[in-house]
Amino acid sequence: MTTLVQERKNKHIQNVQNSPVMTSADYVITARDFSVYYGEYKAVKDVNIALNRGKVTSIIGPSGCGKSTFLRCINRMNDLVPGCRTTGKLMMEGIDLYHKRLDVVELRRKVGMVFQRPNPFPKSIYDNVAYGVRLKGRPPQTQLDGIVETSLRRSGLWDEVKDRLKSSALGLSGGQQQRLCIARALAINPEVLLMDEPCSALDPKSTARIEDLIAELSGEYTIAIVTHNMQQAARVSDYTAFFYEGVLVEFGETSKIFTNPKNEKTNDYITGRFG
Amino acid sequence: MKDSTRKILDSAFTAFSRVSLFIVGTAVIGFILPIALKGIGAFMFTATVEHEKFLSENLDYSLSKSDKERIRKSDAARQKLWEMIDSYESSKDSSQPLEKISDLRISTFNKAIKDKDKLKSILSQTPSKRAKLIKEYAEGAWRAYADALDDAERGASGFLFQKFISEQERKLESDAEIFAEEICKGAKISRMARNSLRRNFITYPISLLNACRERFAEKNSAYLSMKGGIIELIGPRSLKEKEDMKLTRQKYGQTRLDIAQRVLSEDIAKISIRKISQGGIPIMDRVSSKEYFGNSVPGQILEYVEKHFDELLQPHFTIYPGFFTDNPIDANIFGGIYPMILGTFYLTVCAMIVAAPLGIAAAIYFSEYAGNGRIANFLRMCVGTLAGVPSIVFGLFGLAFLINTIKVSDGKSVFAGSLTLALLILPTIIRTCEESLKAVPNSYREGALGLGAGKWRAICGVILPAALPSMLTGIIISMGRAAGETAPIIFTAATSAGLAIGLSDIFTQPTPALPWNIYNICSEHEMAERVGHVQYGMALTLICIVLFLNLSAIFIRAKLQNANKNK
Ligand SMILES: Nc1ncnc2c1ncn2[C@@H]1O[C@H](COP(=O)(O)OP(=O)(O)O)[C@@H](O)[C@H]1O
Ligand SMILES: [Mg+2]
Repeated sequence: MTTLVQERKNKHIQNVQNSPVMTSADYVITARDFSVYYGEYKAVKDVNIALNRGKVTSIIGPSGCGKSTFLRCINRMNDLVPGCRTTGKLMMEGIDLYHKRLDVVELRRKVGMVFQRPNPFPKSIYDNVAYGVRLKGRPPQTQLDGIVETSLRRSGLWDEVKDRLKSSALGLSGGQQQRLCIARALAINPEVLLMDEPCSALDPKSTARIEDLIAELSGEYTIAIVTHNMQQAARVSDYTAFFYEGVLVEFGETSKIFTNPKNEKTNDYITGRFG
Repeated sequence: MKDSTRKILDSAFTAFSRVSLFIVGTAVIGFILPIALKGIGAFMFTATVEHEKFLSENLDYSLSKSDKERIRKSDAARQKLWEMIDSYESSKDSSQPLEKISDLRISTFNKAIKDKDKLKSILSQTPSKRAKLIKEYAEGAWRAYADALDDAERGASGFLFQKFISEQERKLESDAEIFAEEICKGAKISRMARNSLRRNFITYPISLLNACRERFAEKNSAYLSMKGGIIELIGPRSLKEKEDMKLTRQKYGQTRLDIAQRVLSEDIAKISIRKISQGGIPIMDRVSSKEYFGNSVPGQILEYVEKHFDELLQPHFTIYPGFFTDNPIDANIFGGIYPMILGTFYLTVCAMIVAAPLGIAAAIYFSEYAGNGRIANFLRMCVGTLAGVPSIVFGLFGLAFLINTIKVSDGKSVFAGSLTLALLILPTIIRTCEESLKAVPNSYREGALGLGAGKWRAICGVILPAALPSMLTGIIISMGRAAGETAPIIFTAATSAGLAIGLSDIFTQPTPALPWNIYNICSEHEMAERVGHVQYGMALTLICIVLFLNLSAIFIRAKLQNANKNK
């Protein structure tokens, strides 16, 4: 991990120079008074949060409270939304993610993302997994084969698809497609994995598989997962953040939040009184 | 709304849609079917022996055994026909042999020479009296000749009579010259008197011959009219006559049975005769040959042609695939439509090569880069406006701007036409491609970008491939449109006649092309009714090309989408 950090720091040394290092090495992502606007509408309001390295942090809250918005800021996916702007600071290992000279493409290689709906490309399974790797150059075939296999093994899909790597990814079931998307994200070795309700379009069995997968990946990757499912948040995450109307209401260890929430709203939400 | 009302509305709507579907269906069938049937007739038809003769002599086709047999049989039948014609045209079968009339002419002159003294005394009279006396004398002298002529004409069915009359006239003139010389020899007779003798002595027989000619002119024009029809039907008789003809269409008879039958019924069974109207003006009249000729020799010739029609022409069913691969000969009366097909192919493909990359680039710009800003929307509006411009305006633009102003070529050329067509289909391509790109789910974009793809890599690697099936559909359908457009190429690329051009000529040469030649052949062709089958053949070919393009668009789309789904 240190080598990765080193490598990245070297690459972005210019970007780092004028941004003060604010976080300790245990925190990968740090937000400070971070707000997001869609035009005039403030969707995320002055959030302060730090995501721990190698831990799973779940983000919960009622619909429209800004969970996705916040998550998508971490890999600058919100750049695609016209009229979206931010204030405050969002840092990743000491680097200001909204610095004007930040290389967004490089950032996205470090911060992988899995979306609510599985979105494999209309290509073969193999090409899907290899897509991100190929963007960075043309590794030898054997090496590429290796990367594809490891990634598929990690996402638990290998045994199911090893005989039909060349067939279209669109022929897979929803759960398989989502695991393929995870494999695709893992193939380029990110540091952070963002998951925006990765199980909401899946059946319970596939959901369970993905949850297992998250558990396996924790420790190695820093994971942020948005979910509507309280049990899921409780099962998979180390930390939980509760958002309400754009405000981060409560953030802490999952066990504490679920057993002993400090805020009344949090309590109401996790006990299912609204949301 | 009440349930009953809803039901009534429902069934009314269904009925309405069924009726409109039915109307559309019958229109399509009523439109396509006749064209298809007639178009097929361009290359699958009942040919006559002339078809194979033409092909072997002009397009290097070899004659099969049965072809040769047919030619032999038809030649035999024709031999008899030509013999009938020959014997009619040189016939001497009048009750008075024509030599006898000639003899009478000479003897009349000789007799008059013997009356030298009497004539001399007449010549010494005053001019007016002298002319009158000469005429009186001549009328008596030519009595026998006049009777013989009358006799001969009544019996004459021969074509030779016409020639004979002209000959007699000429000889009368020259004989009279000698005769006058003879009479005046050794006597003091004024030049005027001698001329008067020369002229007035033959006034009477000349007038007889003229009247005779007038009567024969009608008879002959009728015969020649029918003979012209026969030659049109079976072609000239000998190789030499064939070579003397300038146009290929004069060298052969009819190659198709349907047209041959029309020639028989319109140009042989009916004839034009030259008549002198009451005002003395010659007029043409059309009458039935059978009624006109009756039982005379031309009547027998007509009967022979009608009876032995099949033997003369040897009709047989044939398939002529060369219709698509042969050059046309003599303004499409013979041969195929290869240059038009090739021209359409060049124009369409070149237009595509120009328009597709431009259109795709513009579509990518509109869909991926432009957003919904004011400038982008203005540009979109421009594209929309361009799509609505009538195609003839594009043609004028091609002429005025591409050819006359920036001079992409010295005159009409395939290149200029292709550019014009490209411009015409560009808006459609931009629109369909933009729609296809917009239809690509945003999640593909997010997925690609999320994996660290740059915008361009995401477009090339994920978005374009995903949009490709429907983009191709749009492009191929535009291709079909380009293939069928007439107006843009009239001023920029099309020429009505001409052979297939090579690939290297596309920057300098105009070309025939299906849509333009369809128009041309039915409206500007001097024998439009004889090439109707070619016109339908071209129309069918064009329809098939467009249909083929559209079907392949559907096919490619289905194929690619399937390939995406279950590789
Ligand atoms: N592209 C957008 N443009 C404008 N407003 C948006 C956009 N995306 C989300 N919003 C608004 O921002 C707020 C937060 O949305 P989001 O982050 O998607 O909520 P959620 O917590 O359900 O994921 C919502 O009120 C939503 O209406
Ligand atoms: Mg959301």
